[in-house]
Amino acid sequence: MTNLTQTQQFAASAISKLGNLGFGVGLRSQHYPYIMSHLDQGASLGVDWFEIISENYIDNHGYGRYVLDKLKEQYPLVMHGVSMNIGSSDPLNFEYLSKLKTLGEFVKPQLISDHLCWTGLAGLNSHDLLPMPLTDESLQHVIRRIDQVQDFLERPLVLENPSTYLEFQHSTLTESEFFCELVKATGCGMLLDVNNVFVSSFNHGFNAEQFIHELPHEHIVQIHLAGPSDCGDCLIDTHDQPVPEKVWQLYQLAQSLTGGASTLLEWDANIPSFPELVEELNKAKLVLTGHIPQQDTVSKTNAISTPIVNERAELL
Amino acid sequence: MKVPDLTQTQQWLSTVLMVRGDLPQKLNKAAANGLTLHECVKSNESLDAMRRVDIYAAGYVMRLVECLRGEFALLCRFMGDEVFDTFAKAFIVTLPSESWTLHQLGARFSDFLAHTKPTGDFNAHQQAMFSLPSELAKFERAKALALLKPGPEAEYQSEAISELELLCGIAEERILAVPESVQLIHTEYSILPLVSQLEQAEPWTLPAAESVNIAISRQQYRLKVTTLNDWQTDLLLHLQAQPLCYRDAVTHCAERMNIAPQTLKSQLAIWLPSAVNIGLFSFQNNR
Repeated sequence: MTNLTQTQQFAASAISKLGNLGFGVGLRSQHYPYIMSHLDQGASLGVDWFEIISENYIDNHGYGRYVLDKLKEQYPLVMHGVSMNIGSSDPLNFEYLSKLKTLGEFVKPQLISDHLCWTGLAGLNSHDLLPMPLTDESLQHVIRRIDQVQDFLERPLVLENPSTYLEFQHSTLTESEFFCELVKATGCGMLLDVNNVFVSSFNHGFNAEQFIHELPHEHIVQIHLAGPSDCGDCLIDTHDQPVPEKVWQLYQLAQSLTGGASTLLEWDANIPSFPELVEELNKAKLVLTGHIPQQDTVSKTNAISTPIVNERAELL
Repeated sequence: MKVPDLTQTQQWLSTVLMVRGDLPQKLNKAAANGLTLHECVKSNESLDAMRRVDIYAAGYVMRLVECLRGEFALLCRFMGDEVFDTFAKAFIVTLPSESWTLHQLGARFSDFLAHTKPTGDFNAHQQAMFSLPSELAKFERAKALALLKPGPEAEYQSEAISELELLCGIAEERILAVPESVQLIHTEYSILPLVSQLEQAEPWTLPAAESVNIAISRQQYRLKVTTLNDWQTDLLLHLQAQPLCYRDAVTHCAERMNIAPQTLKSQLAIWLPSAVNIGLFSFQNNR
């Protein structure tokens, strides 16, 4: 760890101290009635922690904010964002970062994460997680911006590998090489989405297990699980299905290589009831005892990648 | 060929996603800047470059259409899925999102529908059919904002006020404010019966052309919809801009509306306690 700035050293140190939060799920407004009735009764929800989509709660002074306020008293929370635009050649959006920081002061999350991607350019926003050209220029660009973000937020940033459907001709690094260099240079953490590894490896024809072996395991602080859709010629990251067998295998491998990272199940469309969600999450515990659930990837024709998780809750 | 830098690469993909047209047209427009699909994107035997880019291009539009369907569910029911999607896609291509937050996505939808409605010599039924989409969009956008903005549950907690207190003059110095959650809209049609029919998925009837002021407020995270008369609208509008003590609020409103202050005070004494109860106003002590 030579030649690291104070912020980079602080980030690396903070990442190494993050504990395993156990097994959590993404907080979705469809589950508010169930969650709130259990919180009111002091009953267990069957999960160890929750992950929120940061953008859904920034500038949101409605019921969702009230739920967060109650939930944070009893459960650890993690803030997961989709709009940092860390890879864009646009300047960093400090209005967004400022609001993110303010939300962080309210939520007091265990960590703040986003994606290794870009979401827009020239002031326009695609609201998608767009793939980076994996070049040395991109790497240096993202390193500089992570340094700025960590300085501004005064905490380490954690970045997730997104599902991708295209690779650029001029990429010179693999995604695993890119992540290794990134965390080494900035001290940031990695959120390993094993479903995204499954999706990208299928779409680009690389070996998923080898990819996970090559990652910087000591920087992986969280693992995402989800179910994609099989569109015949490609896999799409839809977050609307049970976790398939192959993803469970990758999860098992990742947990063995990281020594145990926080587990999070994402489910963003065709959302099941909360008990069903917890049932799916509990399969992760079985996997850690060596039992891999038998589940095929579900076939679908009209799949939309990266579903939007929109929070606009009215108390009925 | 020179290797494109990060900015050029992102400009290329951004153009492919956001410009108008089918995928070949989008790729042609992007190529005008000097980069072609095959110079940018890898292909393999199972998935060619065109299909790979199409996943992003189609996903970009459909994801945002889905989001608009969520915010404008009644409008979608009124127009039907197919017509709604056509307008939603045109909106996304014409006015791409400029914000990092999806809370802003629907902000310009009502205006877009108003600006794209046909103009000409139409009968009343046709006029209504062309005008109602933007009116409904305005209403649903107001509902969305009413759910998100700071409201009476925390930031604008109000002290209770009674008719008697208002009549006795006890409240004269108290500050009367309008929570940010309150949304006031003006419509040229009496849309609330239509809204109710659409909410209940009942057969709907065309509303009459009628100028209406509608306030959408929030109380305990539940929405309340109220039709306002002229002085109620005036009071709300002005207090939205600037909270005032009750005495001044009444005096100024009475002047603007040309009503005797005592008459307005009597009417407020009856109306204001219930208006506070549904989150339209908050009363605070002037301390």
